[in-house]
Amino acid sequence: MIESNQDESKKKWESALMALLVILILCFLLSLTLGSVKIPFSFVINYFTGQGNNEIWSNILENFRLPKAITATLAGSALAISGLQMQTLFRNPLAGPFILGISSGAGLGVALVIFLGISIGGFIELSGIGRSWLLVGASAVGSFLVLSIVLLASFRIRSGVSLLIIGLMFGSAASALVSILQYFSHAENIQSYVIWSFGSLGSLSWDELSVFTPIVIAGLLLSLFLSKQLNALLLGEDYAESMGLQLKTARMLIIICTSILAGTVTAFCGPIAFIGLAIPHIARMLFNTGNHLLLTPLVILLGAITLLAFDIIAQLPGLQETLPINAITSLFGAPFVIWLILRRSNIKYSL
Amino acid sequence: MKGIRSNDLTIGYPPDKRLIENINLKFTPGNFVALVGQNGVGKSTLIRTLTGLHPALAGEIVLDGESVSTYSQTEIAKKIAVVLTGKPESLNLSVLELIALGRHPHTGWLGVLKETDKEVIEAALSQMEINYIATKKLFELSDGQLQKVMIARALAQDTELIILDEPTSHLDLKNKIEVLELLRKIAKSGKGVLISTHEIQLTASACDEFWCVDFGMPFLTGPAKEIVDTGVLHEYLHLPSTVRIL
Amino acid sequence: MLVSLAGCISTPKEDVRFEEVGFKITADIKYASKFYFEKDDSSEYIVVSEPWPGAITEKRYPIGKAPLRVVCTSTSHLPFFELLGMEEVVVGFPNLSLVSSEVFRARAENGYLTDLGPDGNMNMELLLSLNPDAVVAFDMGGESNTLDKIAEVGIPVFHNSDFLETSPLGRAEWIKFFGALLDKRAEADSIFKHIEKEYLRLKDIGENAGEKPTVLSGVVYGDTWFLPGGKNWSSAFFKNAGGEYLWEKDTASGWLELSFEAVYEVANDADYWIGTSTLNTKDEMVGQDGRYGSFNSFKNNQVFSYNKRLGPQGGYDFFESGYSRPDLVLADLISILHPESLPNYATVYFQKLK
Repeated sequence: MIESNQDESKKKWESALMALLVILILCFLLSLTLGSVKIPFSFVINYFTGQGNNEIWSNILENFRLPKAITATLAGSALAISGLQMQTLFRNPLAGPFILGISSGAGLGVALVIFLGISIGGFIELSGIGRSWLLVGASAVGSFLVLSIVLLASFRIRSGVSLLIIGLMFGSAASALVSILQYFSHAENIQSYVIWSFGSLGSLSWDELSVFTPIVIAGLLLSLFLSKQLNALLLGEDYAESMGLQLKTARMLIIICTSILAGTVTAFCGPIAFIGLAIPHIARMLFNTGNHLLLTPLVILLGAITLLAFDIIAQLPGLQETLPINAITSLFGAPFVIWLILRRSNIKYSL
Repeated sequence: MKGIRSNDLTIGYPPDKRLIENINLKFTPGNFVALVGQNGVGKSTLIRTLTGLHPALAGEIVLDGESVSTYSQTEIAKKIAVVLTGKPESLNLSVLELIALGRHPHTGWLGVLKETDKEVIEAALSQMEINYIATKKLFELSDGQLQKVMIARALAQDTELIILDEPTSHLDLKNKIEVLELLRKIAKSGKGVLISTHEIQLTASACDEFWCVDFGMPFLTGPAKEIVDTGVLHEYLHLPSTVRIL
Repeated sequence: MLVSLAGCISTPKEDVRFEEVGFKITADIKYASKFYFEKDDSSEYIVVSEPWPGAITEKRYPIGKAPLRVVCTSTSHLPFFELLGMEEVVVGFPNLSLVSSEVFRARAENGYLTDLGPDGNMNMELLLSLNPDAVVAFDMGGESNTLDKIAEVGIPVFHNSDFLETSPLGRAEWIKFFGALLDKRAEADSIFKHIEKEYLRLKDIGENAGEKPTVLSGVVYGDTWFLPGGKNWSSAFFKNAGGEYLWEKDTASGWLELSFEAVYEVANDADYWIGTSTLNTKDEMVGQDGRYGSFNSFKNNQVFSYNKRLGPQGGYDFFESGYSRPDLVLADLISILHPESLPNYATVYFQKLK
């Protein structure tokens, strides 16, 4: 009986996985085809078979749309997975990738460079590092600092809730520092910061992607190996320990994994809301499982699909204007989640 | 010796909140033990200390002949399974998924189930007589069903000892009797079963041994019948002598 | 007669009030569209018709005794005081670190000019302690609270909306606003007449200089390329300098926010790239986004920006004095787009990025 049951759910899972994979490929191709500049789908195919004969279109595909589609795919997966991990680790349906203050830390790093960085920035620029790398670096250092403090605290504190509160406190403190910096800054710099906070998927160069891609993929692989630990945590920390889980080690690994994923995405793309919070819920509701070994691949695919789709919307295909991705994710995502909840009233059991 | 032995164990909270001192106990496979005492005396703390979830203040716990401090968390988990009070934090799992979690200390890196794991899970389902709800979600179960599922998870952990904190509280009478009967059968099958409980009457006829704790009194163990007959149980639980237990 | 006069001035909605009160518009503003002068029997007024973006009521200021102590709030106000020789009346300014003008910097160092704190959050107590007779304010629509408070304590607030002008000469003509305020109307008229004459002479040269090279402007922030709309101040300059701004047919007077690929498709083979925001070298540009390097203007080394004159804190003098001297800006642009038309000319604001 257990055999047939397992086979049946395994089959269901496999077909869900295949369906998501197909949708992902479609979304990826669609995001290459749709944009401000009209490029026919046949040209996209020709480009990949090496027969593209329009230099401008080829250049747009190669240097604009392909890097953007790859960024959206990886960033969506990364944010969704770190949201899943934080929700399980803290057993809190409102947790997301930034609950421990990662984006506030990153924001503080970026704010320091934008608001105070003319002199430091000039110095670094002299040594040949571009402004985009400077922002990436500052953001990474900022989130790493917040993360280290939270990790240090995690060795002293057993309760997940206390850790959560410490993360929130550091987040608010970092945001407050950003406000003070903003208060004393020129309008142009404030605008630069605000634009950073809108998020950006399309500004990664191939150079940056060559760093971004391996880090995110490593984080996603690590997350697969953490699914056993996360499953044990589903019953609570005491049960997890009684089943042999090294609570502090597991917690540290999970926090590091989330920080690698969410921190890297924030460093390269700015803060992107909604995906991390909502995709895990959507995955649990659509596929009706809390088992992380099954959930992790589904969440990876669903996160990628969602961010790709939102990016297509943000590009306003056919128009020359674009909308900020960070606004689109919440604007179009929130109604969808509300609809899911109204359709299925058991959200309280959705962890 | 198989099972748990303690030498002059003191439990409580650091630095100096001592709950029970100089505990010398023996808990071996095949035995069904009931831990009784008033609320707040330290029953849960003792259970958490014995299962390694809480540090001891003094003394030593010996598991299968060696000090528990020499075991890793996973090694302990292969010898002792726990059922705690309260519902699990996540209820979006199926019964099978939850029971499968019991295989945690036995599975590899990814936690993928092998054939042997599936056999153990199936056996746990049958032993708890819950095959008919195997595919249900936890949030669909009654309290009695959920408790049986939680015990099945402990069975699937495939340990020689199972320790349960108040497994019958919050259950109706029919379910209390059923759960105790199932636990008795589990002990008969060769596992050690330790429960903490306030169900004196129901437990007394099912268990082999009572462990009694009370404020300011020494930790006392003995065969169930002897503990009841000598009036020790009445003394530790502050019961009037008119209350009949067996 | 009054009705027909009102008809030839741009705002017909004024008609009704004209007849009611007997105001008379004086016709000495030629290019600026956001302010004008009005006369009645007893006195004359400066009327700011759109004191902040989208404002529906105008502001009317009687022209009276010139103030002796003025606080102004935008760097673009300062050059008008300087041109009129009235720099000593400015006693307070927010965020002095932005100021490029050497005259005002020197006055600040000698204690004649007080820094009032961050833009938009001026220190009110400090401002009151300066005891000003007038505050010249720019209001983007959100500063009203501070300005209301200043007015409440009895200090007259003059709204200056020069930034809403879309023509170069219109923006420069605001010198007449300051002329009227500071009782220097004759000087203001004569300075503007000179600038106008020079601008029109240069415009004639630029627009008749033959082939019109194509022009791209702006840079990308995040995923969005900010570039001047077709009715923007910059667009008019490009046109008058004899260039073809690639978005000149657009109807926005503000800024366009386009996707990078949309700009790339239109402008990748533009001849010139003029105006690169805060990016001051080509290295900085490719450091921010490597894709800048694939534009023809970049490859052919035809990227220019307004960073020749920087203040000590990195402020751009172009955004301070450039608005008041459109003749110099236009000459710079002509010498970039048609160097043969202005031989031996040395640019004031613009330079080629290295």
